Amino acid sequence: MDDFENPKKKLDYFNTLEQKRRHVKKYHRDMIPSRKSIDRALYRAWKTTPGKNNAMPYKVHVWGPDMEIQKEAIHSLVVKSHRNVEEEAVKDSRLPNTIAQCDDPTTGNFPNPFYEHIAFNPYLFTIHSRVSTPNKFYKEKIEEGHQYDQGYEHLFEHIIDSVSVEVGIFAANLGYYLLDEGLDISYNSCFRRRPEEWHKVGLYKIKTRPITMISCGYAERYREEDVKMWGKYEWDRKPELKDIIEWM
Amino acid sequence: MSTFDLLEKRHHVKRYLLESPPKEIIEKALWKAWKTTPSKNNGMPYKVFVFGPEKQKEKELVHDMVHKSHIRSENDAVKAGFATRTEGGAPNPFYAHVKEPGAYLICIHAEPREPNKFYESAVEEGMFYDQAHPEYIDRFIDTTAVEVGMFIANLGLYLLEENLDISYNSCFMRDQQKWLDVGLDHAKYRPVITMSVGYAEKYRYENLKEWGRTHEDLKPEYEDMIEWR
Repeated sequence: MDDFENPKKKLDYFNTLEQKRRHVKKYHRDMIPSRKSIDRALYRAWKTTPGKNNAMPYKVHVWGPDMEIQKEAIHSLVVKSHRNVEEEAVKDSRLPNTIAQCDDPTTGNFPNPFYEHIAFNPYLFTIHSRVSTPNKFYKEKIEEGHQYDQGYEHLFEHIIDSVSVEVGIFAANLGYYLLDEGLDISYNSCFRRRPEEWHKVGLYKIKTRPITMISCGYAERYREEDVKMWGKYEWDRKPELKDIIEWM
Repeated sequence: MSTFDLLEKRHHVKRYLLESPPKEIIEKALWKAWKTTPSKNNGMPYKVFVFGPEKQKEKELVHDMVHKSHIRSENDAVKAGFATRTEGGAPNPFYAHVKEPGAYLICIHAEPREPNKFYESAVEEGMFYDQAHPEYIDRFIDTTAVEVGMFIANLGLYLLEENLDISYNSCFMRDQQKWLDVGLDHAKYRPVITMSVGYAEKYRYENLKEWGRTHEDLKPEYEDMIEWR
């Protein structure tokens, strides 16, 4: 049984995601969720997320309310990544790109205002690769010839897709549990991947490559409010179901 | 039952019953997962292929590839010097869920996709929409794989709510050409994950119990995975 079962159960899983999750443009700076809520959601996500060989070769760094400078540093890595990706696209002759958004800052598209949730939030979770130690069962399997690729730092990039899928499952579970606590969340996958880049902005304790990040707090404004205000809400649709799912 | 309790009940399936779940239940869960899974730039740069119980030949082909991938991975480890032996090529019985006759097999591959109208205009202003370009699939595979992970987490939960069982598998050849070579024509782009769905007849943990080894196969401690800065 879940030791932390919330007595004020409201919505089911589908409706929680459908009605409550929105990308946050801005969090309330003076409303800080309790550490207890964050701990509870993290515990639930850890407890219920499966992993190949029970290895879970990733680590969650939690940047709390007092880590303002560090979160601004992480935001700078997001902006830098965005700029680099666009500039490289212009240089890549296989692509149609001829300009980058950062070429003309007067448009207001650079830096992207929808990355600000990374800098200004009560809590930020960054998830990174981690060298895993096999449990007793897999130690014996390794002696029999089983390949435990999660145990080697030099294989991080080789197995990054399967680790990232697991991180995605963890992030989905954590996201749901945070929403269930009445909190708002936003994801981000635009950032510098190399730990050395993190060291350049003073984040020396980060030793391994980041995989994704999630911000959390109480939303003051959602991205969709801006998009609606611009009259472009109907333009921003996900692909149709038939384009994503194919029955064979 | 709470979501936490439902997920706590999930176990890796060794064998499924021959009775297949109705297609409508799978369709409903797929729709809910599509509806509630977010994506960068609303791109969803992946495609979900569903092999029903009647697609036994295809499921066998995927299973063969899983087995070969496992052997190759062990051989590579010996060649690279960080293992001294392999398991000798014996099929891992816990991969069998991939080809079980009563179950569905879901294979998810990366797939480039054109931007929606909102992002079309952003591209005109200089935004790089990486999800549209096949040559960038490998470079951004971590981002796509995180999103696929979120999709299967949601899909898995909706299937569990329908009293179905699910199992994941990430051991297979990444080169889509290997899939095409054995006749799996859907594999135009890099595979990301496979998942099986059905009614379980036997779970992996039941084997571990019989062997008296459930206490040996534990996940890392919470403190090893979560660090407050």
